[in-house]
Amino acid sequence: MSSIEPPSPETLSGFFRECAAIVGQEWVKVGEDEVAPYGWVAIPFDTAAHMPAGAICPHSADEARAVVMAANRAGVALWPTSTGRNIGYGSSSVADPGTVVLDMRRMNRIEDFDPDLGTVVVEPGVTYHQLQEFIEANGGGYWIDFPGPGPIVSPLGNTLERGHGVTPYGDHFAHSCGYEVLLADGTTFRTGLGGVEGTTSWQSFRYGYGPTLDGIFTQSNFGVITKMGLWLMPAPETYRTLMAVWPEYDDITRLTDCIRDLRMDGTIQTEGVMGNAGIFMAATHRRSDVWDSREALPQELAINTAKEFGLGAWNYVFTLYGRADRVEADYTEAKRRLEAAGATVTDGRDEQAINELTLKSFALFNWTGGGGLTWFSPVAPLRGADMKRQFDLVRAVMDRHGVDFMVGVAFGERAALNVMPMAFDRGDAEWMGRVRDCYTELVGQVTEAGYGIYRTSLGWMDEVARRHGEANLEVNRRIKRALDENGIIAPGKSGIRS
Amino acid sequence: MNRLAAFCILPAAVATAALAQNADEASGIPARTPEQVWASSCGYCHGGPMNAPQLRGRGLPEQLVVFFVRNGANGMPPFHQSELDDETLQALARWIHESPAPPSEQPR
Repeated sequence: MSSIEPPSPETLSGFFRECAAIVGQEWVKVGEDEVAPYGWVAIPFDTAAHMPAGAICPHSADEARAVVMAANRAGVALWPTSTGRNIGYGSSSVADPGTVVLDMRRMNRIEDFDPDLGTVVVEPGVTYHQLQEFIEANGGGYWIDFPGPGPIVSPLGNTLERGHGVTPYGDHFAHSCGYEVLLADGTTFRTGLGGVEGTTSWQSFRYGYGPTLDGIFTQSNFGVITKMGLWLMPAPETYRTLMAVWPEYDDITRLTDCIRDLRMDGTIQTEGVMGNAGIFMAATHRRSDVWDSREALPQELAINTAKEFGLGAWNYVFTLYGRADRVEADYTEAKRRLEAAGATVTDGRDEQAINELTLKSFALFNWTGGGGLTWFSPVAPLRGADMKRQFDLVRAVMDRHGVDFMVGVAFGERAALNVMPMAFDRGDAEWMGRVRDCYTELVGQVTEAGYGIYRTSLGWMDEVARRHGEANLEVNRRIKRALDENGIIAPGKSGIRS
Repeated sequence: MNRLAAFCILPAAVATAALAQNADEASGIPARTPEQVWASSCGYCHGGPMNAPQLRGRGLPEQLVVFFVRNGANGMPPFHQSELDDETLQALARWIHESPAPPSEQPR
């Protein structure tokens, strides 16, 4: 594992002086009090393990380019962030010591809104809240799709992490179109059709000519993305949110097969989200009130409590969109088939599905208190037997480590992202250590069982990368060396170093 | 509690005034009133039925507010100078200090 060496204090000081001349002294954060908040994390590692060496806050793509070129000359590593709120995956902290945060929050322009095509270009520091206000101020007619911490995070940042929401535009990467990329040597280029002089279609056709490059800049460290095109969802004529509840844990097999078929034939257009009883408990209770123990929350307790509230072991919330006649027809069909698979189906409400910004996902922090949260996020093919096999495996490991089994399932058409929050008290070193050990064992067991991992946190990126194929990692290293010879952009991101 | 309230944890309904695209060109940070900052960030958790502490109506010391905003606390991430300048934060802290509890909120 080769990586750029941490810079000497003299090198770092010289770099910071050069940056001050580019962005202004007040936007070079070097004091301990100024830098420490950039090391704020929810993940189960001490902040010192991933603390940045400073932060630089450019205001424009030109300033960012000058900073990146200075870093490349000095051999100082930069960790680009948008809003820096990759919460539970590492926030704005860094993989390797000596890395300086490139905080692009001040780059917050929204450009090139096309009201006919529903496209827009955003800089890294734009938040979903800002984007929603911009759309409304410019005539509305479009909805945004946002992740759990939507109001305070960045569409560009979330898309580059390949985040998801719950509307038909929930696969954020699939609804981005055209990136402006800054490479370590200062080269700037635009993906897709952005390279055509006077381009008319940068935001309307993703693939461009020749190799399609957008994907290699996601969950990646090959360049810094300074602008991103984004597709907006036309506001639907109507919608209807439903909740399908299955009472028992073993229902996972038949419900998976049923939902897969509804997704594949297009009756249900969205991933939606299915929470297990553990998620319900975490969102509505304090752990110490219902299970004051170092053992994992018993699923029977969670399920029985959920049933008292009219919920069950599995609670699938999804929304149908479109013209009234289509929504009605899809409702009738979905309800019939879900009920045939054992569900109770009722009308529901989900703000995230209907363009109403919310931070309700932060309720997870109340479960344990103490601000500890990380996400274990394996992928499963949408076969009932596979979902049950994966959950059985995970539960056994979590039970052994005393970690509560919670999962929110995002149903693609052929694969599920099984996003499992692991909550804990960061002030309790023993608990934090158990979560860490549990996560590490899960990475091994799940991949050895043939499943991949959708996304991971600082602290596990090297191991997760290794588990996804040595040859794959080596190809990534070769691309890294070609595009970032000195390895200064986010060393260690997704396990990739030059 | 009905089943959906139990499952979804309804957030505060937050009304916001249009402010997009009026960032100060020198700093890049939008000029915002305390009410606008509250509506775009704090109020999502601290203004409604979420279990985050209620802040208004408690006479919270301004410096305490500034400290938590800059450094984060438990599940709340920090808010850096690159998105919230010192002057705006100070005005927010004063506004929180001076604000009465809205009728729907009881300090806890």
